[in-house]
Amino acid sequence: MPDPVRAADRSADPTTIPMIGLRGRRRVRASHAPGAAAVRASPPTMTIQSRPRLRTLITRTNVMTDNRSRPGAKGARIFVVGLSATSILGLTATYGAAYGPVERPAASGNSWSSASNPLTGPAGSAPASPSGSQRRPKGRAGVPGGAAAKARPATTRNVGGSGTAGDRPPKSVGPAQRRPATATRPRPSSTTTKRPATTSARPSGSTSGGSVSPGGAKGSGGAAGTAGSGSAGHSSSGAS
Amino acid sequence: MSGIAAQLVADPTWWHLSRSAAIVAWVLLTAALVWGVLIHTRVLRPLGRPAAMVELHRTLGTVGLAAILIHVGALLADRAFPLSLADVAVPGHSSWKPFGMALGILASYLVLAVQASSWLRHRLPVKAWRAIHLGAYAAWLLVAFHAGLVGTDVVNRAYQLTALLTTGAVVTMVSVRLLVDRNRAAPAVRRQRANEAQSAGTRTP
Repeated sequence: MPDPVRAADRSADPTTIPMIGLRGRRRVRASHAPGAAAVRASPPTMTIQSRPRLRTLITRTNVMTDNRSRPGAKGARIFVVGLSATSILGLTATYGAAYGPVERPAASGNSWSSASNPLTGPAGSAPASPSGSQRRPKGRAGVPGGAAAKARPATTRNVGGSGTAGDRPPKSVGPAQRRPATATRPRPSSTTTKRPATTSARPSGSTSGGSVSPGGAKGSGGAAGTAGSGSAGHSSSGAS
Repeated sequence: MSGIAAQLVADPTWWHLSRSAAIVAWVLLTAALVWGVLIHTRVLRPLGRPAAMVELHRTLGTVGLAAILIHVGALLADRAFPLSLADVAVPGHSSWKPFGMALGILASYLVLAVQASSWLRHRLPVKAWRAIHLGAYAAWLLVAFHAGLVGTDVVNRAYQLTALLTTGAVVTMVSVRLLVDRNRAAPAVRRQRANEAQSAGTRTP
């Protein structure tokens, strides 16, 4: 296809100028416009520099014709957008599959129950951690904070395996950390002897477990942090 | 706290979305930069019209900017990661890894400026547009450092491979561009020197 600018350069008759532009609402290419053959055959007597308005018209038309309205450009745009959206969603799903099931709390809002908490062992036994082991971990594996990864034993998934656990900022304070040690929480001396073997000392619906820790909710990861392996993140995970 | 609120706090979807969008944005910005250099060097001329190539370059940049916005928006939406708007908008405001965060914020501003200059290209002087557009290289560098300093997946093999590939591609393309520019400038310099020598010769009796 001849370049419209060159074609206009060759046009001898100014009346042939409107053929490059819009006809109705439809864009018309110079080569397909009426009179294009005459323009091509005409001698190059008129220069585009002599007609600035014509140059503007041709430039705009050229850009409009070549750029946005081209089916190829539109297809490439759709391809890029689609591929990017698919990549984002796919990566999100991959992350969710890799990290989600472990860290996601139960439907009731409790992440760990004492019966199933691997840190505390069988129900009724003494917890492995002196404090903070029964409450919901602060962070998640693979996300900043990393308390979940630190507090998780080596038998669970994603503990140091990928090495991407942790890195959540220390100010990420979960609900368990924000909740102060309540007066209703049993004291260590009484809970260890009076707590039923099959139930949790944690109040129902609370994310902070019935800790037997003297430190209460202010405890750090405790000894359970040593159970995890691998890198649990860069940030310190101590409770504020 | 109600169960729904607890789930919102613990729901890692926003966090995963933020990380995914960040990686995709990094790759898209790299692709836009590489594509731009290929257009500049006219390697792609046989493949199609330059205007269509420029359009694809622009699309890559726009989608990359959109991915950055998703990255930031998901960070703000993640309630387990309490970042405020100032944390993600003001460099150095965040108390968590302020340097790395500041690099990312500056990079996003640069990308925004580059993209805006592309949208307003016909209204800007060519020199101004070119100066702003060259900021894309600085933006990519900032993004790379931001990804290395703040990225959660820095120890992940796939992440490291992505970093390696993107860095290699950009370094290669920048080298190619510098070489091409030098080769293009060489004849002009030679002509200028010849003219100067000729004029000097005519002046001397």
